[in-house]
Amino acid sequence: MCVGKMGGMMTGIVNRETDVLVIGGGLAGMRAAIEARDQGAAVLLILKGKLGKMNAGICSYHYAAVGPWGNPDDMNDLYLRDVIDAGGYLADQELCKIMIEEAKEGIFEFERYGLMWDRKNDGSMDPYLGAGHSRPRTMSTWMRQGGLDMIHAYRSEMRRRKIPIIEDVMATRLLVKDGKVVGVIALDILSGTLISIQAKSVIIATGSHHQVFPVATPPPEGTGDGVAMAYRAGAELTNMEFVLFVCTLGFPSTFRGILVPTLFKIGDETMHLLNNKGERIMQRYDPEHLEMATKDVIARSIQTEIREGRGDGEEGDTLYVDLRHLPYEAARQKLAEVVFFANKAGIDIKKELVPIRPAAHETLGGIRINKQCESSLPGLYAAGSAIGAIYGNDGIPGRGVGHAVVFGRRAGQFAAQGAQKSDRVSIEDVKDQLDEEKTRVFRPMERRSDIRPIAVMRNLQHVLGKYFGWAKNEKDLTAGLKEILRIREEQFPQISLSSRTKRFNLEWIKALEVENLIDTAEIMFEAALQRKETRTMYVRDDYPDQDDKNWLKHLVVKKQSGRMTFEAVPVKLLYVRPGEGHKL
Amino acid sequence: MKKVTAKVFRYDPSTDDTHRYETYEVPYEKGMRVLGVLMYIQENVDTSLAFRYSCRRKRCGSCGVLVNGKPGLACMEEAKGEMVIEPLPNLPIVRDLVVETTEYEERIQSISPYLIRKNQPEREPEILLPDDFVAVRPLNQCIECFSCMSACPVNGLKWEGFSGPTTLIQLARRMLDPRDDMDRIPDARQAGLEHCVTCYACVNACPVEIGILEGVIENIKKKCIEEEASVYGRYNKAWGDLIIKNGLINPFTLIRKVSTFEKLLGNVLIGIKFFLKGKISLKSKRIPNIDEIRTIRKVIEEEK
Amino acid sequence: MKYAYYPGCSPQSTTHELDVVTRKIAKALGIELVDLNGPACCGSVEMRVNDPDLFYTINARTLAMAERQSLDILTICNTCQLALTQANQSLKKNGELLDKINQTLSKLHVKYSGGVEVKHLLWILLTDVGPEKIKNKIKFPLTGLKVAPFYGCHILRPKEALGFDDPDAPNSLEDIIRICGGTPVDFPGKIKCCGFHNFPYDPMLAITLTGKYLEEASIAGANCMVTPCPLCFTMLDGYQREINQKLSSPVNLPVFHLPQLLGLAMGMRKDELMLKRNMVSPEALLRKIGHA
Repeated sequence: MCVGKMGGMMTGIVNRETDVLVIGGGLAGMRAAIEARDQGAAVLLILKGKLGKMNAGICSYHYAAVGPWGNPDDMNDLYLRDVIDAGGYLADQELCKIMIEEAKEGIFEFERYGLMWDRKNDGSMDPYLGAGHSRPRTMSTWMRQGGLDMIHAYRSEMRRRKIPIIEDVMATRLLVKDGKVVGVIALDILSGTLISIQAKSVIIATGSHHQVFPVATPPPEGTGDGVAMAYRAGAELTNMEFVLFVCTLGFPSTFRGILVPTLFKIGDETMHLLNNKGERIMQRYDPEHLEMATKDVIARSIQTEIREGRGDGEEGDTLYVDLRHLPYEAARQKLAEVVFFANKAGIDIKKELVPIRPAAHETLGGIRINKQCESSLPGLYAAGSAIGAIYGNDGIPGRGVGHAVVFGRRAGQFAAQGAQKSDRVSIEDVKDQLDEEKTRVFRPMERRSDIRPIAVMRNLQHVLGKYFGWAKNEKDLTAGLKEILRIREEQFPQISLSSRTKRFNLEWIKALEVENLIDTAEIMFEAALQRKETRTMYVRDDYPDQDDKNWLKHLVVKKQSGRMTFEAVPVKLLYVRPGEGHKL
Repeated sequence: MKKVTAKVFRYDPSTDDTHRYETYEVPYEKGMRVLGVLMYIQENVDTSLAFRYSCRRKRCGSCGVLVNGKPGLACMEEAKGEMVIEPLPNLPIVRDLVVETTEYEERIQSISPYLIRKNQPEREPEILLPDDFVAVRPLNQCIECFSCMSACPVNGLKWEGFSGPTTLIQLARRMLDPRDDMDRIPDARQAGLEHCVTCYACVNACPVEIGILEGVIENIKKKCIEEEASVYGRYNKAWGDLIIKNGLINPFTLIRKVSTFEKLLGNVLIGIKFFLKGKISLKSKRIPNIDEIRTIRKVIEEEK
Repeated sequence: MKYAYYPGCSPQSTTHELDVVTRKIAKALGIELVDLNGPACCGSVEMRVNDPDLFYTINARTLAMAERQSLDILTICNTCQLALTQANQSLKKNGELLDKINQTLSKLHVKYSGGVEVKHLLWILLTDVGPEKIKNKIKFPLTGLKVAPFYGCHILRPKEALGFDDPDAPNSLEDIIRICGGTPVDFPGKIKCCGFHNFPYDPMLAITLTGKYLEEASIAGANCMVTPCPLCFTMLDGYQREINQKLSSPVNLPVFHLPQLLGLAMGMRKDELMLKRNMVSPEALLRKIGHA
């Protein structure tokens, strides 16, 4: 693996060229780079941190595929129905089918790369029944480590092939010529130098934009850089109104990424959701199903309790999970991570309540792609969490990895093929864009003010936390949108940095990330205002019913003539119609 | 409100002549981690503070720092009343707590850290027995955080030819994987395995509790021992022989048996010094009931 | 306080003075040391890997000797402490292993049932004897001695096996130094490793490691060192001339065995403490602080 360093150039722009440029070094980015390389392309992968250490994949657990390890009656079609049903029938069915069909090869590939899926004692595969799956077909590795092993597997292959990478680089703008994406401008964090990379194909694998929220389970680098860049360059995005919310540990602040699952049973018992009065909140909202109620009911209940002041903590959004009545050993096994981190935080689940807070888990919006993983802009491909989730607005285990593994590989393949038919531009061809971008990127460095990027980021996150909740309504969304626009007009243009050092200035990077967050947040609010219905995880208090007639559609957004334009594209019900999926 | 004090290493090689320490007071929250302290400082006191982090839960290995002299992950180390927070040692400093780890990554790259197998499986999925993977699977938890490298006294000397515990873990991950069929002994030798002083500093520092000494180093040594020509082979044989002979080890005799002629020659002066102080007994002491040891040896041999 | 005494190999050869002085201070502090009948070498760090059957058997034999007399074992060497403890813990935890080893031992009409604890003299001093009792025996407080404590690795790590001191911030040696009236001097290397076990084939590594700690201790203001391990002692005390060839400013740090330091404070004479066997003579330093 060749790690490039950009050296200490203080002015000017460094020039690089390649066939296939991959932006992002997680599961999707690595798989894409490996494939493109295996197809014979010259590949360069750039990422905002260190390879293997900056990605959401390490925290994932499992991958699912139909194969000779499951029930004899399991078929791709059953899996397809599970996925489409869970996603509220908003899936792109054609892409889903591909993801499911190619999943099996992904399972084999990981083992060729050194991973070992769980085995039974006789050496055969040991799949389990994932939540929402109709058959046991979900695989993990020892200690349910899953994601870490998957990242290691791909990184080993990156190392084997010595694929050129440049670490600590933030891509800031796509280069476009004659309507085609021809490269990217990026900021080298180590030296504060701009790099212009001309490529024949560009793959965006920059992950999700969950950092718009005050609390999120994936790591903090998810600021939607790729999604924002693609949008600004004119590519279509989709599903931007959808977010998966979960509950996480309430404290300390750094443990607020630890997911506390609420929907599970140990024997006949569930956990109990309590408010700050110690009341079991589901008694109020769904006395029949209690904590096994559907996700939208749970979401609304939690949100209402918080809204009506029955949550604790500074933000008033801390509720509690009671695990004391559960058999301890079984709870410890089922909730291994929660118990581990709760212990570290000083909470004994046998004796105490576990404080929880709502958090964002995944943002499902992203770049819209076709079967070849190509976006609406020629030359631009996407994979992983940066793409608009093709399975709809909610998902079952194995989904995130599927986006990365299958579409990472496809993006690599088609980007390489596309590169063979393309020419590369020279740095002179994009000089105007470089000059523009240089001015934009260096602006925070030159400004003098008291407003720091982190403060603006927190303000933005506060807006999302308050107005883009689990259960939304027009009043909140309108107010939230207004706040975001105000942040863009008043605060963002004032951002400056406390240090002008060019050497590893993370605050400078944050200033650039804030702009990406503002752009994505604005789109999210606008999209949510459009979708007037409730569907599985997407809850609108003012439109509590599912509206297939008007909303069995993908909401596609794009920048046209400088304006945000939406189009509601009907879902193509190629294989599964509503009601024909398997019930969860 | 309870407060904790953090004395943090600050250094910008592009502008500063030398490093300095800044002291910050941070409000304490229950269960707080050092990462929480750093994030508070970065958000509320000095937004220019540079440090790496990502997952916040010992999966990515980004946030390695020294806390009160001990290497570990900022996201897992508990915040204490008084903390000195410094970058990991022996590495070039990028800025503040961010270090340049390329040197360690290159060492890992040099031992081919990926599966190499000539014999492909007959079918996929392969039949893989969990018992065959017992030795290797705890090693897969390694997140290359370099806490062990930072704690290792030999790595701390930048000892020539010693590639350090993390490299050895990555080597062992393949060496102990039943599917890998490359001869990795040359890599083990090149990694300088014999320079490990078995002090368990790596084990003590590892935030994901990999038993590096026993799980990695000793397992690799076992594979190398088959070669008597290696230094372990000689050491092993010498030790065993002396125990059977006398039940006790006379260090002088041991050194004589293990060392090469050149090294002995270099140590002649030391030998003389020790002899004059009466510290070297030419005649080895023997335990009174040495036949018991010999019986034990015989019984063990017969069992085999 | 009665313990089965396990001196290990070094105090029966190179560091014979440690054996002699241990017995003396044990007597003075009321610790009865019972000699075992020919316990063998503990196998150190290598044998557990190279020849595990032999390792567990000869250590089980030693443990059985102590068990026969219903005694716990007292060690005076870090590596013996670790090796015996590791053997002991494995035998106690793993019934199959214990049975297998006992089968071999049965040929000697010996059996081990897991009833013995292994403790280092340092721990016994602070727990069984206790600081108060030791203080009462101090006749000559070692004021003026700035003592750098070198723990060595195998009395601290791995924590699971040993567990007396916090491996990152131990203080038992500092406590002893203070009880003796000296001033403990902190330095980074105090918890590190002298490299003794690699000396036979890697002498320069051991010498370089040890040299670093001597230098650190010297810079930190120490005028002597103390260590609870004869192997560390051999490294710290035995090679200062060679080490000085590599240092920018030479060190001259007399090193004491743990019982020697105590013996000094308890008023024992230089010849009783066999200080002439120390390679770096402490005579000048002791004269300076007024010790006869």
